Amino acid sequence: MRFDLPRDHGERRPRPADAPLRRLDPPGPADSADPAAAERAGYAGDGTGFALDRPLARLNGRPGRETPWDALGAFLADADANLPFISIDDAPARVRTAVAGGDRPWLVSVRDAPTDIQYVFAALDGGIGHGVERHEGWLTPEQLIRRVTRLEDPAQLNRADRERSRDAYTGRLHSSGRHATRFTGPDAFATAFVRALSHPAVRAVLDRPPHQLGPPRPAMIPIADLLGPDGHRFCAGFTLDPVGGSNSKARVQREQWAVERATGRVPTVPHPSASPITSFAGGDVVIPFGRRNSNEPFQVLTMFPNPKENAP
Amino acid sequence: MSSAWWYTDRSAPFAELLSLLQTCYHPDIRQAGAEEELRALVQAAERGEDTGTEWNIPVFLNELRLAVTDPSRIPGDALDRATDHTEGNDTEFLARVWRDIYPGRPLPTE
Repeated sequence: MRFDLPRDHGERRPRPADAPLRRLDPPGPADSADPAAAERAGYAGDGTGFALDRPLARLNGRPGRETPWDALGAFLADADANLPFISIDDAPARVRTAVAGGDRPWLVSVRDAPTDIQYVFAALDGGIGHGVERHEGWLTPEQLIRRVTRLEDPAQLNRADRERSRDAYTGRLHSSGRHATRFTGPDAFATAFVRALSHPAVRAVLDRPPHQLGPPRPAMIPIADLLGPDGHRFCAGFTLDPVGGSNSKARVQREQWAVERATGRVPTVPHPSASPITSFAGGDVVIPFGRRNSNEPFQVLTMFPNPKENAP
Repeated sequence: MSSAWWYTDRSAPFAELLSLLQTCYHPDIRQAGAEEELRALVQAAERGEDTGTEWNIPVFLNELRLAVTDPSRIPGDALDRATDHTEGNDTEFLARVWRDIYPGRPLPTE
């Protein structure tokens, strides 16, 4: 069960062209007058080594550079991402409540994170997307392997349903491409998300009039553009092993294996196997879009790192 | 799928087909109900309605007919890589797409 949605759910409050950012102060020493700066100064990171204070090129065509902290501090859930409104002041309590309730284990990643990062995760939790559930650092390698080999949905919290490959949101057989990937920690995930929101390919969809027909093309943005030149180090994943040299045959056998197990039969095909993706250098962050209905604007449906073609 | 030619060069032959099918069928990209949305888009375009869509539906349909007739026209394993389909071969997958768009209408090859 997700958070109760606020009354203005579905409405979008555009960011005025000259609107001030939510917070303009750069990271600095602990300052009792600026709780955000104090939080940042006292934050040792999520343990992955991702730098939140390193300047990166802006993606919206404006000159200059911004740090991940700048982008995180400027993020507004409703105006920037068409997500339901949530007050930043409410984010820590929402994360605490969710973690205590045990029904959204993916929020454990940000239990001790600064408010700016908790705000991103709490806002996404109120939307239609499932990027955090399926592609964030809370996932273990074992969960990724089980997803890509057994079609087990990590968002499915009922163990029996998960082992029957039942999708947490559709109730049908879960599906996966040839890879199962994640950002290795919440700092990189949140940074990729908020920085992507200023990319022209993403803005074109999020700002698109609802009456336009047809699903929007996903955005594919180089990992290095969103996370910096070493951003690929903060991505990990596994790829389904080919069968007889064929990726197609491997996917067919995987589905057969999952269906047979889900229906209580002993699988008649070999258990699928997967191998680690050795590098994400040169890869992209893939951002598909979706919406609740045709009268509402699009949101980011999910977000995941993808290796460069032919990089196993 | 990253930086694939059909994504970076929309004017390339079969790029419209591959991009739209990737959007509607790839398991990590599609939103539930994308096939129905594609059918509605094609129907509206064929009725001559102003859909406001970013997709070039006439080009897409022409490429789909060509591909259904002869899947080998699509370069290499691009359709497989774009969609990660589970039909086992491109011929079966393209037939499924055709039936999703035109329920009950024979394939161009029939």
